[in-house]
Amino acid sequence: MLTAIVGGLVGGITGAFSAFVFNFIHWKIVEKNKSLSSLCKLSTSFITELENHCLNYWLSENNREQKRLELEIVSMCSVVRSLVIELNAKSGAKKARSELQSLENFTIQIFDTATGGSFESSNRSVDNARAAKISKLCTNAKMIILRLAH
Amino acid sequence: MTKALNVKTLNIGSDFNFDPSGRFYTDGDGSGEEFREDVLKPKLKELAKGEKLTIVLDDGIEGFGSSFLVEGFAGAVKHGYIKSSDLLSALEFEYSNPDFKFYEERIISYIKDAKYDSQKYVPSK
Repeated sequence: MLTAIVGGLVGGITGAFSAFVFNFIHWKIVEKNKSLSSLCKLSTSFITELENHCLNYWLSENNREQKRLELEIVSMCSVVRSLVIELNAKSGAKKARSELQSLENFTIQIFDTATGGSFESSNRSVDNARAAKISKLCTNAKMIILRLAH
Repeated sequence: MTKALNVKTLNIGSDFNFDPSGRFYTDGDGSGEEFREDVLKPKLKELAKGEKLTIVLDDGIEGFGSSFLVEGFAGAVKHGYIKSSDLLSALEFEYSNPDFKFYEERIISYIKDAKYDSQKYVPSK
């Protein structure tokens, strides 16, 4: 009789503990995915903003907005770099390693392209080819982030 | 007793310009060409054998564009003032903001990619 009670108790406690551990792990995974997903959304939105600043800059002649855009492009490049570092730390999945490496390369390529050539020059002219390259780089980066988010 | 290596310092903000921007003199104050010709080149000439030049990147500076960095550093190799390997061994970088590691890495990459004495220097001003 006593053995049956103790057995039942142990079984109950073990079951409850297992359920707790299962729930705990489940919600941890849900939270992690949620946080990765919101980081991906944030990164995509900043890349879009960077792309817009770059296109406004490289597709128009020198104007009063030039200095403001130059400052925004340099600082947005820096913000995007920080977000990619965070994405790298948060996703951590081995299967995504090549995607993360591509994103790191993106931060270098976008910096070199967006702030290269006649950037910050008083004689700067419209550069359609550079604008097209920037747009392509940003679109590719957003595609990679989309894949990481799912 | 071994004599300690003397290290010279070049603080881009306080010794040059707190808003380094642009490629050529014609782009305005604080350009890469101005940095290379008026500040970096003389500092490199002052270095004795084995001496290093520490470049302080982030003192009062928010960031750089690649146009400034390429012209300012890789330009010294491109115009034949110094070979890229010699420039890389002469320079050290210092920053307190870890985000500036990116700029250090870009400078090193631009210097490595530059072709020694590949273009005759013609001042833009």
